[in-house]
Amino acid sequence: MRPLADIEQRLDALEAGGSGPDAAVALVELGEAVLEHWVHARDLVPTQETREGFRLLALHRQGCTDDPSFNACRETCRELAYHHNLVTSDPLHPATAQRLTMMTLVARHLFLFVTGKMQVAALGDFCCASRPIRQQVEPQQTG
Amino acid sequence: MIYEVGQVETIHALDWIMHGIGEDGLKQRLKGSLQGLKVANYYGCMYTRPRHIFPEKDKGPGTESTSKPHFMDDLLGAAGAVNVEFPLKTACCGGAHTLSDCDTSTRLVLNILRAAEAAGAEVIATECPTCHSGLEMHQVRAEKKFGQPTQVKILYFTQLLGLALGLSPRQVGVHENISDSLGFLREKGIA
Repeated sequence: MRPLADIEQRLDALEAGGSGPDAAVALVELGEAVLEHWVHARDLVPTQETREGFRLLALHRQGCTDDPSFNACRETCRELAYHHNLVTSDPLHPATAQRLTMMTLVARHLFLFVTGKMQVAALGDFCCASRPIRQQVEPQQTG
Repeated sequence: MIYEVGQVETIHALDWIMHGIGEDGLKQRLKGSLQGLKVANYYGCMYTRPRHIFPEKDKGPGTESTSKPHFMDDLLGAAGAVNVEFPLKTACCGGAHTLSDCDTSTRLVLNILRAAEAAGAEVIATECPTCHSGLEMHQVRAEKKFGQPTQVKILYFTQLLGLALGLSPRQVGVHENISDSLGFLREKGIA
């Protein structure tokens, strides 16, 4: 999986200078990479399926399994897909730059939401909430 | 009146105003106008969730949408506001992280504020008290902690409607907000 720090750096780079359909595709892929972390942290294998043409939406649906609160980012994912379609279907539209700006902010919101949620749930690879470390420590504490 | 379990219906102020007064009823009562005020309508994550408890929504024209809510857009538009395209209208405000991870909350709010400004909004209209206080507090914190100031004003939708109905800024409690919108509202001729 792509490290979270790498995803954030790529978001910064796209915010600074992303343009055209390639940037839109990259932003959707970054959204997928973020959701992969959430799904993986919950001991599931990230799906390769698509929903309405987007793996992003299938991953979101998978991420909601037994956790309806994850639906709070449902529209964020759908906005990402919507903006992807706007940019890629008409790259020469005068609003393309603006659409990419908004798309980058939407992708960043998904990143912040998911990483924040993982941190609260003590999932993932954060320094203060590393699951492998926790798993090693907990048996000793409880034993 | 005696409260009896199951006999009290709880509804959101937005739904109440829309169903009880509506856009046409509001227009008839207007004494002022939001006259071209550019507004990003921010609903937050709770207004439409969980979807299954809102069987009356998503029934087509005239009903509220759980994926693209619009009642606040409709009412403020009827009062003269210009609603901007705002893709984060139902996104998380980070309220749940405020105690456990305040920086994440600030970054989520900052992202909402930046998106609203990028969309051309002068004001973010809110309809959730938690979102409202979070947006206001973290706007201040984003500037102090991350050195990232934003200029967009944050007002509750009832404050904006009240101004359009002829109430004074004091009557709608603008002075109770954390941010100071009074000068801006006067400059726009709304207060």
